[in-house]
Amino acid sequence: MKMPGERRAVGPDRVACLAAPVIMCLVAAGQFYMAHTSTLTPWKGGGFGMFSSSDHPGARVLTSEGVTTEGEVVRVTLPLDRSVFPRSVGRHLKMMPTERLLERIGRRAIACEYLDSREQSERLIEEFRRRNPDAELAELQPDPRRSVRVRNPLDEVTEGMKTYRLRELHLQVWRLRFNAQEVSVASEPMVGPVTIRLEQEAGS
Amino acid sequence: MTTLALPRIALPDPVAGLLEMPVERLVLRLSALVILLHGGTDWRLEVPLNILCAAALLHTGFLMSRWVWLGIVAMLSLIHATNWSSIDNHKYLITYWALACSLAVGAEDPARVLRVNARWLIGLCFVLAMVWKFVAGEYLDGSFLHSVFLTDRRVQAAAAVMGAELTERHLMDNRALYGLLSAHPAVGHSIPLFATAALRAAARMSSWWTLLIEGAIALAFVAPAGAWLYRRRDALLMLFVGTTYVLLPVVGFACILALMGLAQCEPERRRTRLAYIGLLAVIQLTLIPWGRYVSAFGLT
Repeated sequence: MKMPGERRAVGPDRVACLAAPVIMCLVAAGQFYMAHTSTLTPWKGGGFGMFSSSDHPGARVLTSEGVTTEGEVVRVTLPLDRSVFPRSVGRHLKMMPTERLLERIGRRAIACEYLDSREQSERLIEEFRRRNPDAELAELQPDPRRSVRVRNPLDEVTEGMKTYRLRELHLQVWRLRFNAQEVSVASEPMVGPVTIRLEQEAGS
Repeated sequence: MTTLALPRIALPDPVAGLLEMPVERLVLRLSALVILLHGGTDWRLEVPLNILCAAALLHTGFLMSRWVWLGIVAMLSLIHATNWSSIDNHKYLITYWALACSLAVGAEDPARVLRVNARWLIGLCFVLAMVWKFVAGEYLDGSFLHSVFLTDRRVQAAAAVMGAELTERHLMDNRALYGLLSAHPAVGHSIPLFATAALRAAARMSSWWTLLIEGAIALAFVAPAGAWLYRRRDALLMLFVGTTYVLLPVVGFACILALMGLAQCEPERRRTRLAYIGLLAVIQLTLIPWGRYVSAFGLT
């Protein structure tokens, strides 16, 4: 490869000048293709699309809703870390979510035991309302459904504390979009919903 | 055309020693340092990588060994390949640069191999960044940076300064609203954010500046020798690193760009090489949480 103003390299030096930039181009072409044909975020994958689009990993969120064995519909908080899933699963879900990945997460999650939890959004709503008492947003209503979280090995279940099992789990990945005209943020479904049933798991 | 002979700056001995060192040795040494500090992603990579980079830093024999550099490339490639979808782009760039180093140490003219690789890698990096910014379509109207200014904690202090009546409290509320929508996404849900016309204008100006500087760097690094932009490539790159990473401190990216800037610099341009070395040191200042101090002193 000859740079402007350089004499042309010969033999092995030519390969040495060529290899890294060529690999960079090939990886970037692959990333560009995948970002346009799959759910890969432009920010990742070696295409140098960081800070180019609001479709970044932080704008992708997983929602999960379950039905307990007693028939109650609950909001499920899934920790996408090592406590339940391999760390790569959680990471990959934000970068390139697929239905297959959701199924994998769902199969693990439905086997877990759950405890009551206080949703973080309730705390956020309280704080926001305290600072902005006049705000009128439909989205600021707390979700009336029970919220549950995965019971981890360090959780002690004391008397009176209830544990839950799920018979059905619905998972979906959403994308948050910034609307420049209205200066607002909206959500749109991206992958799913995927439904995992306990019988289906027991049978498989 | 007459050229002015600028007086040679008297440098302290250690600094002069750095510049007297063979170019490839200086670049490889700094490369080992940058990889040591910013190459790792998890402990499986960091343990062997730190040992190899430290060996290269401590002994010239290891520094100039192709096997040491191939070991570094192998480890970076293996671990980064397993995390390919989650690692930042500068980790890719560091891996390509390590490959260039490994190929340079066995070459007939190592300095030249490093120089050519560095220029292409910088040029391609900015070309690709420009392509994405145009393809994504959120830059010309400033909408992408507007959303960043409104919701990203890292630029909160700067956004509050640019946003006129928009205070840090409004920006915190924006993040809370964003968090609420993250917790309760639904079709048709839309949450308005606190914003001002001043911040929108600042976002548009910042977007145009980004397109201008990144486009200029992309062209400068692939331009024919002697071209007007080609001769200004170093100033452009230093300006970009010096302005961008103060706002968004991605230190690893800034370091690898400054290092490759140094590597592509001709040996006779001592002052430019010195400026790149200085830039590598100055970049470390971005690790200071300036935003916190700006807020603490009530400047927003």
